[in-house]
Amino acid sequence: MKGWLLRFLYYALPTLALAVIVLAMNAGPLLKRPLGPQEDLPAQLKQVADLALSGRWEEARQGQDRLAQTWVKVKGRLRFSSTTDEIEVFDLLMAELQAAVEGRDQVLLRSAHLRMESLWQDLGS
Amino acid sequence: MGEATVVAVRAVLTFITLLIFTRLSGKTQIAQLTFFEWVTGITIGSIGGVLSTDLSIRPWPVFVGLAVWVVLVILTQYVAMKSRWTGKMLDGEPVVVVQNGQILEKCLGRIRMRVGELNSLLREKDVFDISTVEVAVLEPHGKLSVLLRSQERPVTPKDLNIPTSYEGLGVELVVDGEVMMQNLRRMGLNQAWLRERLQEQGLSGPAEAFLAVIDTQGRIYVDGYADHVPPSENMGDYPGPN
Repeated sequence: MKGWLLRFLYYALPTLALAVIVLAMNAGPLLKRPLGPQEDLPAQLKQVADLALSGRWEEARQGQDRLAQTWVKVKGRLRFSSTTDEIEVFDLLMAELQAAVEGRDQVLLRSAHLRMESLWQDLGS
Repeated sequence: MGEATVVAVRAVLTFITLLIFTRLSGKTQIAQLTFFEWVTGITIGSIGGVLSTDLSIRPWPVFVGLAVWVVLVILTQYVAMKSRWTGKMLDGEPVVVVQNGQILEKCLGRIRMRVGELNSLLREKDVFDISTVEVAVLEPHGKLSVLLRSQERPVTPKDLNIPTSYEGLGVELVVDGEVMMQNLRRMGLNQAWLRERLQEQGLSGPAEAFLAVIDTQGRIYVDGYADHVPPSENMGDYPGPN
């Protein structure tokens, strides 16, 4: 019985290890999912853009603050399955969005919004 | 998760991946590798390095590249094993470089080996006079096999008609103070017998033995933890740790 178990483990352990590694490397789409309404980054981004484009800049600024906090949380989970460049570009786009809201620049805000949406699709996938 | 943490996690996963993949690829010794297998090993190792530390590339495509290389290596080995022609094509053939004391220059040229390299390989085989060589063959994995002329070979018991008995492999009974119960049972022995033999060698029991091996003649080799080396045998020539 012990010999059978050891033989089973001899094959099962490496197989299990490889399965875990493959899953870990492809877990990006899963880890991108919000763990609660506070972490729904695409929805928050859309909200900021909608508020800014309708001229409600003060509410857009508050939404942008929440978005920045959410990004800090999500970024940690996505680092493993994304490249450093992707994370840094998203960081820069967050800064660009903040600048657009503070400067009340709808063109810059639209540009940052669309680029962030596009990059979000690719992040971790 | 900071960059250092990501690299640490990737390093652990790459370590496990390479461990499994190299075990799958089968070869256990560098000496058995052909030049192509050696280059393949380096490539797999360098892909592993990228997977571990290059954060500018996502890990999954690199992992796929690594897996494909390993699969190709295994496939190549399998094909080479099943087809003699493919095996020769992939691994190359042994090349005779010396015959009856003569260096075969054309063969040396074909494998682009200099005479200095040939001499070096011969010296590694304790051959300092090429005229004593009957045949020297360069194997596909780069080692030289040498057959000396019959009058130059060492005398064996068979040459002298001296009868010898089967020696076989020794069986470990104690390793690092631990009794190998499976080996003991296989030899039809028990712990009481082992303890007696160890006591004959001046040890109180298996816990004091670093290694105990029995050969097919029933002779036991025992090495205890306590070493009695005279100071004159100390090779160190500086006062630090040896």
